[in-house]
Amino acid sequence: MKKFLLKAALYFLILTVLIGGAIFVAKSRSPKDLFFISNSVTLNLKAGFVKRNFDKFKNSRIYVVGSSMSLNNVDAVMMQDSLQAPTMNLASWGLRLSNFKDAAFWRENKLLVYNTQYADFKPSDIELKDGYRFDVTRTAELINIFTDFRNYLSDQNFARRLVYHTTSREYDYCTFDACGSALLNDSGFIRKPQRWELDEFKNVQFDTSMLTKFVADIKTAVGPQPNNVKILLAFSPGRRVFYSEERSKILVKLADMLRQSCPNVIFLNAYDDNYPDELFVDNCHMNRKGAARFTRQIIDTIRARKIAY
Amino acid sequence: MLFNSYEFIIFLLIVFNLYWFVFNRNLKQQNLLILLSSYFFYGWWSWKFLILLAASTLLDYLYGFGVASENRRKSKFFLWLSVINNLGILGIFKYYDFFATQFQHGFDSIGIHFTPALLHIALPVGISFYTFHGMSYVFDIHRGVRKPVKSFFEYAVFVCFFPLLVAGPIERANHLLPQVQKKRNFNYQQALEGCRLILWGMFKKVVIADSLSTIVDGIVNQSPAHSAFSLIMAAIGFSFQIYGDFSGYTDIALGTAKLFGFELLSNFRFPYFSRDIAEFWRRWHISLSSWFRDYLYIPLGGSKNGKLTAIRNTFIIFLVSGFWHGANWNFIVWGGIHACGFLPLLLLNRNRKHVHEVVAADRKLPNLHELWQMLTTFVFVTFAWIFFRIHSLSDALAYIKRIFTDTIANPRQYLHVPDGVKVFYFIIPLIILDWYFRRDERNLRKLGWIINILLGVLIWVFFKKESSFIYFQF
Repeated sequence: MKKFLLKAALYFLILTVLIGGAIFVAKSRSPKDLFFISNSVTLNLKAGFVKRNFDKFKNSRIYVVGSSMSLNNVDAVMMQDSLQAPTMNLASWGLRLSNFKDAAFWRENKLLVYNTQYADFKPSDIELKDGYRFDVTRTAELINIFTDFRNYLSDQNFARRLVYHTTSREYDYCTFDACGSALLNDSGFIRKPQRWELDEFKNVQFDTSMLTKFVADIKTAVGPQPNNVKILLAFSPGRRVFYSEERSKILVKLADMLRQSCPNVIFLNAYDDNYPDELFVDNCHMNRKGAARFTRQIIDTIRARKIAY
Repeated sequence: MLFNSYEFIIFLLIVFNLYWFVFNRNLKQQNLLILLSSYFFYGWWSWKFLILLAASTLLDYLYGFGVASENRRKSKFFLWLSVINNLGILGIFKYYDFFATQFQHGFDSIGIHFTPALLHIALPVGISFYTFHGMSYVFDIHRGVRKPVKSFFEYAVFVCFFPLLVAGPIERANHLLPQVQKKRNFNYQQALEGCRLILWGMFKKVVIADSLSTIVDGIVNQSPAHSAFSLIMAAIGFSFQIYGDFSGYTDIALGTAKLFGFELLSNFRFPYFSRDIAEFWRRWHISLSSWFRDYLYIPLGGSKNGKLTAIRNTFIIFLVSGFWHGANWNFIVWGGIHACGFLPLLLLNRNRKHVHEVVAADRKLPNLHELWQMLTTFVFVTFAWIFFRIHSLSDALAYIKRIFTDTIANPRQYLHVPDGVKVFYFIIPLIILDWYFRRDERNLRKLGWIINILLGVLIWVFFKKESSFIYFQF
């Protein structure tokens, strides 16, 4: 038995040294902003961003959350300057409000701004390793790397490309400004025709059950939280060519459902607003100018409704 | 609890230490520890189904005494009671919804419409395996091969021993029960072999099968969008995926059992080196095919009462074997295809041509004739796997049709590298290593430290959470 245990221990020792070495080498080559908390590269980059600006994160009074609809369409710096309140954009590609249900910020009296569009009605494929908490430790990250090393390596490669090789003229642009937004360039943007012409409403094969699920997800995220947390849910406009009365009526219904299910959610429906094509980079993502106009609307709503933050 | 999970590693370490360091002086305590651990292992999925497992175990244990009775009528009565009980459990949990739906379709076609109440019960993990354990015990008593075991705990360990509980190998009472009843001492060589088997099994599952699964699923789930060449790649990939998955599971089970001083039945012996279908079934899922041979084929008369009976019995066991895998027509068709492949061998009396020796046993490489035989058998088996992988008959037929129509429409595609060619990155190392081991599985010890450490590192790199084994669904 002793011989067996010694041999097994030696085997695991060698394996541990090799694995530890591999993690060390991989970690030292990682872009400094990457923090491995999920299967989403942009969320991992955002987690790294928050880690670097943790004091600002803790002191922020307004958080912008959600998917690329919030990341690209909401200018957090502008919001911070106009409202004179520390603001941080925590959004990343494909994220939903329901992904935030374990976030630490629910414990405090904050204002959440969540922008969405029809593209967000399809299910998210983001898997969070440790709940959506930006206060995860380095040890927790190392455990994540240890248990999912292959994805960590591919995540790194993707992150390197995003951080070092993309510009704000591309859809993949993911360099965050001082408050965490990633605003896309309004001149010389490299538009892809298939994204420009894509009708997201049809693409997600929208049906009313999605609406119910959407509200249920928001309720799941908001429901167990203290009532003093306020959520401004915005629905940003898309390219006018895809506008229709029918789609507008769906949002009226959404507003009704939210009023009944989630009383602490304030709904800003900007879908009917006519935004010209030059404010978009594709069917629903806006460029810097579009984001500025839309953010102005959000700021005006916060002021008009006297939402505390 | 999955073998390929961190929970299982912790579980195994705890049980191993308790088994050899705390309860090592008392056989009863060791058996009790195994039983409790097995129930914990099973209850990790669903504690509710533990009741079913315990009830099934208890009933077969009690039936065993009835079947052992000198009174022939009483013996038969309890035998049938056990069969009805075990098949009843399978019928309710596994087949009820299937039959109810088939009846509904049947009546619909003659204009009688009704909606049967469906149970929609999640299939208890391993139900097909532990019910077959119980039945083999009762059948063996009836055949006079063994006597009923007195201790319930010993019998329960035989049925529920955690390495084999959820996906076999399907053990025989005569093989496993004596080991349960005998004092077990730690054996260094056996434990080391166990560790090597676990490592090798994990490699087959985590590195080979799971990687192939990603490629295969990507093509099969979008089959109309892929070329014929890619569909062929996916079919080949699936053949090795299911082999890596199931034989990997079996190796881990055998290895784990060795750590506790048990030797389980072998389930695979390099099936893709078979030279005909008959040999394939002597090398693939051996514990199931031998179960059907001993408890179904031979009692039905086997091949002793003429060719017609042999043909009938062959079709019965292949179709039942297909149906055992799942309540769906595709599994029955899969079994039927194998029966059709077996038939010519049976008619030409060539079904027992390759019984013992593995191919090229005394040479390094096969000759051209053997290579051709292996290749044709593999192509046949791969064709049948299409029906196993795609759970709808019409989709499976559409898949096969697309292979032919797209080949005719675009024959030049075979001059280009198809999607899914990556399956060979994983298949080739497996074939090479299997070929190297084919004379003796214990050759694993020849791998040496460096290869074993390399396997460990690869398993860690390729490890994926929540990747279940294909045979758990059966």
